[in-house]
Amino acid sequence: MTNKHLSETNIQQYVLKETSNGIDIAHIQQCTHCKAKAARYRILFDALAEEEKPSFDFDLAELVIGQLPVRQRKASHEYPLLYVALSIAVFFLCIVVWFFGKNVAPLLWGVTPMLAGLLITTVACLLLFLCIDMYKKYQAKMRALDF
Amino acid sequence: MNNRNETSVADQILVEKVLRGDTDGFRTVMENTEGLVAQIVFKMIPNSEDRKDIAQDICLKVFQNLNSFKFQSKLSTWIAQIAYNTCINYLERKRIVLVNYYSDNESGDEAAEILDNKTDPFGNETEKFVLRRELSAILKIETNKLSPVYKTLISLYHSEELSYLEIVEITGLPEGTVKNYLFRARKILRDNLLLTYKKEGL
Repeated sequence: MTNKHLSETNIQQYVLKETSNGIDIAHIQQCTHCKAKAARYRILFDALAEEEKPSFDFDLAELVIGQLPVRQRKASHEYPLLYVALSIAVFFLCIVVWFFGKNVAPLLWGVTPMLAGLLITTVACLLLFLCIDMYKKYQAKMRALDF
Repeated sequence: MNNRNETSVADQILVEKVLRGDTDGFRTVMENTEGLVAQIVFKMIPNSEDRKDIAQDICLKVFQNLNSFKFQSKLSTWIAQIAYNTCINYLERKRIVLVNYYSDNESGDEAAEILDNKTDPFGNETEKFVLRRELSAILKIETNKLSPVYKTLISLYHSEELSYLEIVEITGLPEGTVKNYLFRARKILRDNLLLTYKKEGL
């Protein structure tokens, strides 16, 4: 058994049965000072558990039900902006391939293995960095989300 | 574990009902969680007039975001999380201090003095009986003096009997912080109760 009185935290943990430390338990059982402190916390915790629970003085469900927006699932044809953006992207891609398609292939064949490796490593590192950054931003936004 | 699964299945059925447009399903969701939402709103929002608007706001957010609920926690925990965050946003807008980092040494020292004296407020059985009656009234006043986050944590842990893990999910605070705040809040409460006992000569 330790002769030093337990900290407030340890006494609270003992009362809440959150400690399995045999030395602390033995001390409280033998020390009148700590035992008294534990008894006071026990009374406090009992009173907190018995505290009257608050309730709204209005019918919350009734109040809200009338204001609920009608839930609608959007059909795929209801996203015109998405289709317009996709069409523009495809159109520009076609233009690039039409004009520069013949020049791109020789350019790729001319690249040395070392340069290719360097390019792949750089792109992979950049992608990894962007992904990590995006994930961190996503986590921060989720934490700050207003709900 | 089984209980958790049953809750999860019940939650799933309810959510699907609401997503299909069943308003009675939503009414059940609200009735099941009204107590927990009330507990958070009452502890976090000091102004009684604002509570109604905030409670409504919480319910509408629940309805609007229900399709993003991923069943990674209990539905009640998720709704409590929305309630807590809505209240935090309100308090931040009103520039109300969320957690008081005041030193509890002042009241602590005086309370320690009382504890060291022979006049133990919880000493004999008659006093214990009287004190229990008075305690709930004093406790209500003293709890209200705590900062919003302390009050909420105390009620979630002691009144709603939620686990540390559930409180962590609701508040988004790290487990260590939740435990630390709870220990501090309980100590402040105990010290203030003892001081009130001394002042009022209970």
